[in-house]
Amino acid sequence: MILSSYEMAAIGLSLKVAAISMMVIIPLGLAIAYGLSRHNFKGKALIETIINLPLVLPPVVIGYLLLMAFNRQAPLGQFLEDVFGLSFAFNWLGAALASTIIALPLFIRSAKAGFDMVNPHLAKSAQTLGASNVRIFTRIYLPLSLPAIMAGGILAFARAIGEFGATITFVSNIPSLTQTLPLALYQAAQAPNMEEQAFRLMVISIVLSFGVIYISQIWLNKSSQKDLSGQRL
Amino acid sequence: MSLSVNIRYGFLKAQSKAHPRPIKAKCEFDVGITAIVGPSGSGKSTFAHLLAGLLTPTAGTITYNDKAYFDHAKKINRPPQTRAIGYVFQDNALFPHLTVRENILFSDPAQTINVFLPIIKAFEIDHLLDRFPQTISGGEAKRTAIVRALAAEPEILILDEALTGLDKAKKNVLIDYLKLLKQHFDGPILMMTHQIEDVFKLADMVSIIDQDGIKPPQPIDHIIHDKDFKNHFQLNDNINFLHGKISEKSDDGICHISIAGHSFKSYQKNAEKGQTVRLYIEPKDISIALSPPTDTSILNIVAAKVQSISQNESGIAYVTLSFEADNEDTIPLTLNAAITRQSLTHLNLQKGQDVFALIKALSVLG
Repeated sequence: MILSSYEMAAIGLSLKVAAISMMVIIPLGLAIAYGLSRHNFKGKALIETIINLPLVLPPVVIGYLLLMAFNRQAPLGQFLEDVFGLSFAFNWLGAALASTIIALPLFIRSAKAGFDMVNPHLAKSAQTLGASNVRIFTRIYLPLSLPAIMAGGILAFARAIGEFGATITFVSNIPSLTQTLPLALYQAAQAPNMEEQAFRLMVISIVLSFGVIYISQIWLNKSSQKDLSGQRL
Repeated sequence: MSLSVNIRYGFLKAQSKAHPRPIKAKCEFDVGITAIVGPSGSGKSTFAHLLAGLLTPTAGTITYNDKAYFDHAKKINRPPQTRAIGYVFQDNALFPHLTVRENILFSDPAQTINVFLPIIKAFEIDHLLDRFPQTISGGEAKRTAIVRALAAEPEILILDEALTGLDKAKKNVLIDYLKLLKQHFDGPILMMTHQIEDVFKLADMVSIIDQDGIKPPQPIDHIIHDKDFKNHFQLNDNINFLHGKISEKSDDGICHISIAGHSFKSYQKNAEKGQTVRLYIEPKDISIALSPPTDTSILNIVAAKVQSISQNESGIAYVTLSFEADNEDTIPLTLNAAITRQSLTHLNLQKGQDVFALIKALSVLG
């Protein structure tokens, strides 16, 4: 199957959007998950609810919220454009922002569950052994939660690459600008006499997702087997 | 070298939620093993956390020598990292993804393992260095946790329920290692425990924790006569607590211990000739026979006289045995034996009767 330039653009854009999302999701998500796992504070439940909200809200609601906040007439959108020259409206950055917000809670939930599983005595022990907070994170929490973090990363990547509702509402469906794979498939499926194009895009989507999940799953299984036999993670 | 503590904790609403019982402590801990004894839930771990800086007291001061670890009035609260307090958790808290070697070197990865080899060898974990914590036994894990704590060169060591959850044989092995600890560590050792036997076998000083807080530590041979202490642990007056001196030690580890001029034999790995020791003999480790048994593994078979017999509602009778002075240097000695009421009837023991005491085990406290 030789890919057309139209398909290549959609694949490229999808990967770019998902990759940029992950580059934000992983550090931000780790920081939030670690903070939530290790600390109790007033209003924690409220913050957790807000973070998880994109999981339960229809994505179109998130997309519309983003549109209201970041369009060129809105105060926030205007401010970002004037001060940083940054615009999210109707471009791939907007698609990445939508994917990030939709996929972030999946990553946070998984990473936090991993951090929660770590015996709190380990961190206390490390403290009495003189380890700094950074060292406790990098040498204890990170390696011990790595399988959960990886699993969260896979989920988030899959969600980001498949993001549709929020993206189409926020940045619309503009070929080579904001048209990711699912959006291209949607357009092909809607148009008359585009059945073959739709079928090809569907197959590409399945192959892409299958490949990513399969490779990650192999890696995950390997590391959890090592964990059981008491080997290094 | 003493740790002085004068703190209160748990009097704030937020704290009392997590810790229903407030903690008050005004005491000093010196070099040697101090047992902090109280039932589960009395706040032993909380107290240990407060000392180590893992929890912050509501008010007061914690000072080691002249260093202030915590001073509420002066707003000093050193983090655990700079308190030089080693903390061995009940569950050991070994890092499961690191080898024994990496666990020991965790406090200073730049250090090489050779620096710690003497202590690693003393605690007999040198063959485990490349193993992961899941693959070693409970006793080995405890020893690793102790060595790891010592490798950070603490000035104070806290052992939280170090002997809980081990069966009797493993416990006795670990007790020997803990006695060894005193030779490798010259600061105060605080041992949190709810098991009174641990106290007798290891501690120099005892501090009781109850609803009124933590009482100042007292020497163990004083506190066993303390009414509160006896009531607290439902001890009767039958504990055998003695002072003695190692008069001889043979190559096979058998020590002759002289107690008030009477000589007893006991296997003691780490004792040295001439050392004065405190001993504890559990009443149930003393049996009574009417004639001396000839073929037995028991090392101490001593002629004695029944001085008195006391019985309570339980099936156990306490027989006080007196050991006659056999020369001018000897002072009369009494020991209490616990036997079943059935044995009492069977032997038909009477006051003043001549019997033989079979002493199965002596605990040397060092």
